[in-house]
Amino acid sequence: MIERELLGEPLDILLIEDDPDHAEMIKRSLGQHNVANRICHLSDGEAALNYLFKRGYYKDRNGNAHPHVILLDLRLPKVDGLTVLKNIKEDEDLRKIPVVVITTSAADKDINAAYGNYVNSYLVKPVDFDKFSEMLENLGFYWLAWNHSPWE
Amino acid sequence: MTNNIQNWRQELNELVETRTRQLKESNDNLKIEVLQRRDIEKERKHLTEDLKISNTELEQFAYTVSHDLKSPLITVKGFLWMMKKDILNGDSSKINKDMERISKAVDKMQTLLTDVLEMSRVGRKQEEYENVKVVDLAYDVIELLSGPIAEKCVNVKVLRSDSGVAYVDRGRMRTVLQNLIENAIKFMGDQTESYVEIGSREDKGEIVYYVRDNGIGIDQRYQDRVFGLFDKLDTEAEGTGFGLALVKKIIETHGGRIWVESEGKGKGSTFCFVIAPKKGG
Repeated sequence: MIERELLGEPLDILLIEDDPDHAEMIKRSLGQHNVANRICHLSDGEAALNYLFKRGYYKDRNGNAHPHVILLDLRLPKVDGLTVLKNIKEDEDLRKIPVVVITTSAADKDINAAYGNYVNSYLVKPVDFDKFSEMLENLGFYWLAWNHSPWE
Repeated sequence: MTNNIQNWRQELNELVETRTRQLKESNDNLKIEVLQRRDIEKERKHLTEDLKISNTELEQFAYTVSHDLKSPLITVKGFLWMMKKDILNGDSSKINKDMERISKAVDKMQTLLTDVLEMSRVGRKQEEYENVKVVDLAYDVIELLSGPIAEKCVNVKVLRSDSGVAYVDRGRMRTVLQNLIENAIKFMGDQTESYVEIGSREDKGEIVYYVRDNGIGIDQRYQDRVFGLFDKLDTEAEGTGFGLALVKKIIETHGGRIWVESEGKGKGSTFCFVIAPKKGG
């Protein structure tokens, strides 16, 4: 963690993942590499949209309006991941947040649909955990340390 | 001479008549053949359509299964790896919890495999169709579910009627009712006077069977997703999101359709289905 650690700025990740075990694996991997200091975890698509658009339960929430990156699973309860993505990218403000899909699906149909809805990156969860962990480490450094966001 | 001419005329008339009759016959035959061909063409189109639908279904099935089976694998591999590392570092704080996660993931895989197997059997196994009073099957189911019904103090009512006879596989239809009634009990919420009602009604010449409850209801936006394979509206809820997909498949193999009516969250749900009338009367 190079530049940003010097700035002492907290790094915000919004993780939208319905499988609690996978969420824990992602949190531990990122934590292990000291990549993220704040992970907000939501487990369904409806909660994610309410959080981002500050509606319903999250109407008066505090916290960063623009996380540095959104990690999005595709198969989610209530509102599925593609619909969440579509809603984010249709909003003039929220569309600037990088959205990275992390899913078990490597189906062409899903990859095409995600890019068709302007996803910033598409990652397939590897079954081997050393690869899984390495992927998240790289992801963390890329989006959170190297990448510049419009809100800096 | 006159006689001759008359004879010829007579003969000619007969010939014309015969020819006309023959022509008419072959015309009629042609007409029948055209109709038959039209029927065959219709049938062919129908079959192609069916094949397309079942192909799409199969694709969807393979996609869902591969996704859902991969998830617990990732969990097992991940936590094994992390446990190994923790053990090497002499950190045992998370071991028990992580072992539990692994064990649960394996259980989930087993459940998914059983579910998938059951799903693939519907419509393939030789089913035994007979005339059944569908609503009456609810009595067997209520007996089977007497434990949870008593535990949750649910008032279960069966409204019998003489008209509700359908040509179905009794066992499969019992599975349908069991899943619907189980769901109604499971998603009762904090209702103080909870009830489940099973009955039938006539609607536009069809008999609609229904299972109605006054439980948590279903948000209208999500109503078409409840029947999806392994789709769950509530991550916290027990089960794999398999029951309603199985129910839908069974109803469809009976040539029927199923839908849900709910005015929204907190307003109860009514699951309705119709069964196609017995083929050939």
